[in-house]
Amino acid sequence: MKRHDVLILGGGLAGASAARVAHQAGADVAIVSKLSPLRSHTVAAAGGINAALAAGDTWEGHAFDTIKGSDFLADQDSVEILCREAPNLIVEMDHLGTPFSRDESGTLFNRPFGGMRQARAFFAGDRTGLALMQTAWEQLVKAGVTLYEEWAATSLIVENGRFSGLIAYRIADGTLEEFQGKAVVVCTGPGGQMYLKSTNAVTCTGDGTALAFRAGCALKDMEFVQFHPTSLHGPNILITEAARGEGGILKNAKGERFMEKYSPKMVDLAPRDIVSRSIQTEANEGRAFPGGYVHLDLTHLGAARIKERLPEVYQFSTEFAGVDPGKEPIPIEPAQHYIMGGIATNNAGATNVPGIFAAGECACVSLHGANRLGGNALLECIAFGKHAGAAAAAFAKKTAQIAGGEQILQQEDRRVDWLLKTEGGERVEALRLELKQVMWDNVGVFRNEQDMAAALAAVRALRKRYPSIRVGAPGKQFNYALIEAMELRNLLDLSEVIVMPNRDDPNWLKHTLAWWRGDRIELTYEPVRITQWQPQERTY
Amino acid sequence: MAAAGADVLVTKIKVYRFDPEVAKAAHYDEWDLDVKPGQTVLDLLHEVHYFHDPTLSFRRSCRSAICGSCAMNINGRTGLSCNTQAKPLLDRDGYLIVEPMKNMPVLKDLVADMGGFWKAVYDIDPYLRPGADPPKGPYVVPKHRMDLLKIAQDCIMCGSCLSECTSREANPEYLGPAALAKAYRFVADARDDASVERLKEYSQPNGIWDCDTCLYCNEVCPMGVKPMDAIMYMREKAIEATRSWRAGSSTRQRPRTSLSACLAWPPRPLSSPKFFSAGRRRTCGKSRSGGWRTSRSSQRSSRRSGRGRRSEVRLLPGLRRAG
Ligand SMILES: Cc1cc2nc3c(=O)[nH]c(=O)nc-3n(C[C@H](O)[C@H](O)[C@H](O)COP(=O)(O)OP(=O)(O)OC[C@H]3O[C@@H](n4cnc5c(N)ncnc54)[C@H](O)[C@@H]3O)c2cc1C
Ligand code: SF4
Ligand code: SF4
Ligand code: FES
Repeated sequence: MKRHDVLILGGGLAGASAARVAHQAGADVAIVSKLSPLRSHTVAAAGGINAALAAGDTWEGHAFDTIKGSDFLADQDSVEILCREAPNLIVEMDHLGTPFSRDESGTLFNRPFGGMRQARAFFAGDRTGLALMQTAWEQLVKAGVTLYEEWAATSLIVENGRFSGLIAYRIADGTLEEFQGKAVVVCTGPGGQMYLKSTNAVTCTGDGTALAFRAGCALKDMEFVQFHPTSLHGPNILITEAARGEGGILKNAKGERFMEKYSPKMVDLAPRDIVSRSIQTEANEGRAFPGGYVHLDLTHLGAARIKERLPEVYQFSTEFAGVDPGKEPIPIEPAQHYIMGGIATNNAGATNVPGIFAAGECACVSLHGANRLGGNALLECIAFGKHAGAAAAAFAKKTAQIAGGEQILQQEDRRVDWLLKTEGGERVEALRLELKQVMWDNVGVFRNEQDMAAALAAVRALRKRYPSIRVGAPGKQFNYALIEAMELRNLLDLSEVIVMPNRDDPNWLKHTLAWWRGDRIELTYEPVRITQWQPQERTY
Repeated sequence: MAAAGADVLVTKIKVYRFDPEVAKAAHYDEWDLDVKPGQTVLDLLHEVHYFHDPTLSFRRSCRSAICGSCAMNINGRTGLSCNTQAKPLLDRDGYLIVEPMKNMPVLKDLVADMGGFWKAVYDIDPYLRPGADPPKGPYVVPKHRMDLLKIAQDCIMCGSCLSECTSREANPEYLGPAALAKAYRFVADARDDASVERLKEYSQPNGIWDCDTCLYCNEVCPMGVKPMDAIMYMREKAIEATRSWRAGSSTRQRPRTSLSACLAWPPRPLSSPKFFSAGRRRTCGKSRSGGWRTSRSSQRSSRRSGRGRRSEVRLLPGLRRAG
């Protein structure tokens, strides 16, 4: 058994930010992470991080754009916190070492991003996430925060309604161990692997979200899933929105700049949901290329500028699609990108279970409502990662450790044992592929009642088949087949929440809360918090 | 990208297997797979793992060459499996052999023990050591100054360079290219206030003077990082620093060598043809076999053109503070 005041589950940008602050507050902090922090999916973030830092920009402007982008379903007090703090957070990260791109006079560069009326996305080349993650990790090394790398958490322990610890599985040698703690900050990031087409990493399986859900935390607004319009056709590797920020143009198979039709004002820089639906409409109406993709044209920028401002776009197009973006347009299609919903938290990152906090993509404060604007997720990770870390440390200070994970440990031990030995007929990957197909076909870019009902039935059927899976690998060391089986369970549980039919007109301007009741999922509603911006029609 | 119905190639993939729970010795397994154009080596490994042998272990996450998980030895050269297209490799070599990284112990199958790699990175103090009072706003650093970081800032810690490093092969204590590229990233950062101490530290045994200048790290890096260039830059700066310390003392001594003659600042890419005449790997007129460390003190090169340029006491141009 291991024991620390504050456990941070996940070492991504949110986890690292939470750990840094909790450590500064004097708590004994440990990060438990499935991957080494620098392998977290934050490093894939490309385009930028938003802040009203440029001359003439205001936090109110940033807040309004975020709220409008969210379809007025974000909580406005939370958005205010995010946007007020943003400029200082950029400065802080610069002081800690993030190499933000700047001009010759030394001022930080920024670029326009979809849904923002003003250029306010700051960046480091087009590897902003990598640069921020490096800085966050460097600070962990500097502070000497304890790190358990390649430990996958399998469950959170709640005793008498309060958090007492977690169980984690060590990938290197198959050890299952209890970690006691007074508080945990769940920062396990994205979970888009239930979709056939997704820009998320293979390891993004929503583990922490599912763990918290089963431990009694409410999940908020899980039906809001974002589809990014520009992923590379085929491998679905993300072509950053910055490509359109820098002047990229979308064209259908007929060579038409079709976004003029759907978004006369913002054209190619309209928010992601609108662009994704427009591309899908073009495909449905037969104006896409065979296979359902359209073109992102950067040729007018010239190879030199693309290499300078968008080196990653250049690399991805050439390495993964064999296309030189300076000479030919890039074939792109929409893909699942971000889950706006997640573990319901308040502005301090606290959930409904005392001792469990959450931050980053796995949490839902809510800052993004029905649609997240590019550049706000990295910002959320830092801003609310810090809030959650501080709140968890404060909580740990005034509470005593409670014991009692023994039983859960035994239960988890039996489950792992069963997984290693079970000889069922269902291959884990086959089941996962079926799930991905069902989700993509029925609750992809467009959602409608009929398809959702079909998806719900299909997901429930898949969950019934889970007990007859076969892992097929008995080993203790680096048994990734076992990890994938555990991940599949999490994906299945979350998929069911995503496909639950949950919106009707009287519930407009409400958040959906989903509760795990063992054999079923219950939904409740709570109003969206509105401060100074009244809902209006969302046109671009 | 795979065009529909494009040619499919049935081929063998040969994979290094090692499972300490089962046997002490390693062996190779082979699978027949259909290789479609557009498929990466990682795609093929996934196919084996998912549909043929779930016991095959390898690390991976992002599948887009950014998380650094999936480095391995593919047909004798270390690289990321997720951005290595299988078909061109098969067309070139006629075979496909996948093995774990070198210069690191193997834990299981393609999973290498990166403990030594990380230790070296931890050892160089991998975090900014800024001056006492930061400005109110962001540091004001001009673009060209920030651009110095470009040859190192995109490192994803994949380990490919260390796997190929000849110095590391000979000396397991050598910090290695990735750690030193990370070190450079701070030395070159105008916001870092500790470059002199850093250079002193990195000049210790197993540091910058132990590189064999074999260039392999520059060649294999999937992110365009140039660890060897970074090391050469630090050598030059370390010498300049020594010179300025001496200049401060009463007995003026000549610099022991002058690398400034061949290392411009900002550093010229060493891998550019200018430095390597007709395929022979030579650095600054010195042969590779000589090595830098041993011959440093004895070198009285005629290229002293850079000697007269006295470097500032601060190694790097000062930065303006905003706000
Ligand atoms: C391709 C791409 C591009 C993006 N570009 C941008 C952008 O330009 N701007 C922007 O603002 N946002 C962007 N985003 C979104 C943003 O990157 C993410 O929302 C954010 O990085 C998530 O950070 P995180 O810390 O919450 O999660 P992550 O960085 O994914 O970290 C999750 C951590 O949890 C750990 N973990 C997971 N499961 C377990 C478990 N069972 N046990 C223990 N540990 C576990 C992992 O090891 C990892 O360390 C992008 C996203 C993608 C996919
Ligand atoms: S150039 Fe130096 S650091 Fe790079 S691989 Fe060769 S010996 Fe190692
Ligand atoms: S320098 Fe390049 S090869 Fe070496 S670890 Fe970094 S990214 Fe990998
Ligand atoms: S899987 Fe991330 S670098 Fe290859």
